[in-house]
Amino acid sequence: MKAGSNLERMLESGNFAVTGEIGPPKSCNGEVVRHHARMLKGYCESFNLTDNQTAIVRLSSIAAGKLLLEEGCEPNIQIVCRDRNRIGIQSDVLGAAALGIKNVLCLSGDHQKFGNHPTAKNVYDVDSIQLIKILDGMRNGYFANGEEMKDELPKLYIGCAANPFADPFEFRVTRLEKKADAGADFCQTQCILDMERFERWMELVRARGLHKRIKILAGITPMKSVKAAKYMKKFVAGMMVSDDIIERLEKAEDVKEEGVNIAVEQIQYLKKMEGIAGVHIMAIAWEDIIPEICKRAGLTPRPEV
Amino acid sequence: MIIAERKPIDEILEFLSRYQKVLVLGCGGCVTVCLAGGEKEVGILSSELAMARSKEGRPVELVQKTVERQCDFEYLEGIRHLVKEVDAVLSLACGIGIQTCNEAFPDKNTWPGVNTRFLGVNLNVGEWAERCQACGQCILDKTGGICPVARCSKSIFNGPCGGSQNGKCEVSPDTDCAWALIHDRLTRLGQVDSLREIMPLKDWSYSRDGGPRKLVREDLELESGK
Amino acid sequence: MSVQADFQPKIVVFACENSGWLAAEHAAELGLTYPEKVELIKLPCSGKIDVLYFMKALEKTDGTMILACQQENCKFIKGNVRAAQRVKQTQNLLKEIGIEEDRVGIFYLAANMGHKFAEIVQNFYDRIRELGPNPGKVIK
Repeated sequence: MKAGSNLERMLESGNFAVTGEIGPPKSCNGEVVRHHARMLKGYCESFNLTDNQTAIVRLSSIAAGKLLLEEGCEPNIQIVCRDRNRIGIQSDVLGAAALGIKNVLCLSGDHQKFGNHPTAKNVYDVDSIQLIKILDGMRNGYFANGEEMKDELPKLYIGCAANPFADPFEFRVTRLEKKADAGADFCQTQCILDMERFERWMELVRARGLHKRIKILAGITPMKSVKAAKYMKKFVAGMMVSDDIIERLEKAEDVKEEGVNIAVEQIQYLKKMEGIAGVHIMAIAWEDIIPEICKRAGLTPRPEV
Repeated sequence: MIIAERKPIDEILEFLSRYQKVLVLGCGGCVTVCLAGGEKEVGILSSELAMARSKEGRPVELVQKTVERQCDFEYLEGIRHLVKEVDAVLSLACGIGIQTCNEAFPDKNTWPGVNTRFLGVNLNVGEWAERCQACGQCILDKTGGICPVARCSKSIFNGPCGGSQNGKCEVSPDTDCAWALIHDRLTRLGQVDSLREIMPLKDWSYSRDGGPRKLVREDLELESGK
Repeated sequence: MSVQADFQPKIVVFACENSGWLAAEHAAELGLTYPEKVELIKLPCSGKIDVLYFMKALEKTDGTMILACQQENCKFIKGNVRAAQRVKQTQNLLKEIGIEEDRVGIFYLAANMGHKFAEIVQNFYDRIRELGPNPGKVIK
């Protein structure tokens, strides 16, 4: 065990893992985070806490992680490379570890152009792969500069993201390999709205044996509306939405219900796919749907490990 | 070369509002090539400023001059007499030239007439693109001759990030993804396997992050110090 | 805008020697007249016109124009296209300092169009008269 988190135990024991995602609020109202934590407790091994997602200022992921711990849930804090340099990031990781946070997910981060402070300067002192390497070094007792840590080492279970829907397609697998090489333990994929492409990607992943080196959690996002699906297809860079999903939503009497149906079917399908270690449910601004999806997909109750 | 663009006219008029006689100073270097501050632009801007000031009923006298390069003190010596006769200087050189003027003529303001945009290349008439950020430690040998520091929106070293689609950057459909370009180029050269290696942390101390940079080459220095 | 009764605009007409200039000569042959404060300057092609020429003209006059060959009919293929682009560029400069864009224009005609020449010049003159004196004139 590297960090001994629920997520790590679940994945390393070979159980199908479930992670969720909570977007911290655009305020200091911690009650929002607590509310989600109470509602979702017991449905997922851990919950991602986004780090100023889409470059919009929000309650910090580490602070939200602490609130989750207080509510008895396990956090998985995201760290993006956009806002902090190697000094700030390492400091925050030490702080997070001191608070009892064990899972950390390393991301490049959305460009600030998309956020609410588009005139900000970005940092990108390190990139997501270098960040994984830094954290791997830290848990083994070294700072990014090579200096040895003299005291307690942070216990970290290191995650990363993979986007099978971005280009160049084949290089996406190489990039996952680089992340595994850098020390990532698990990977959560971009939400799958094009299963065919995802399967092609997984074939390449399996061909290189990567699924044996890094735990892959498939991203699931229930669609709330046809408009959202179309928007994602057209405007979100690195997103693919297959026409059959849009068609199903368009034909549905209850679009939300159909969105959940699709998500449940996807999970059931992925459960049988070789190399898939779990699912990561990102119900964007729809966190309260997670219990229903989990129940219907047969992911409850969570096994004890 | 250095790519610059004329400042908004209102900004320039505001700088010059208190002066009666101004030297509009062009530069024969990069800004001439990128059509922002050469002899011709000096002429056009002077004409425009003169008309704007006449319209306000506060005419201004403009002296026009374009030197070989404003970033060399030697060329500025030759116009010292002109500077003496005016209230202020409006420089159409890049930020370097403007500062050199201010340093050469400490008793007069030299105002910026252009915004210095980036180090880049001329793609088409009227179209320029960034190519270099002068980070001080070139890695073009590793990236197929395409710079991720200047051309990736996130300056990442192990790209492309998840926002790359159809060879374009998530920031804008008009922007090529630098890492897609790097990937394609190295594939073409049969060297794409080199991208499997993780590129190490960048030493940014060679870049601006290390503080203002200075280069001294003792082998070139003369005993006089000049 | 009210027309000042005694206002006689000064105008510089740049003319391509393959069309506008010959049309002016044709107009003279026909005995057509145009306002006296119109100065004609011959260019080897309308493509020779430059933003700076227009600006220099406007420093001392109320309006300026370029007479170019009919579209698609430039002896140097793209000269009249370039000229139109420079008119636009000049208009942008005028606009940003609050001077009427109409003070610069491009008109197309052929060498044998003496009547058209006289008409273009007269119309432009009338338009400038309507606008009144160039507020940015530097040399009065």
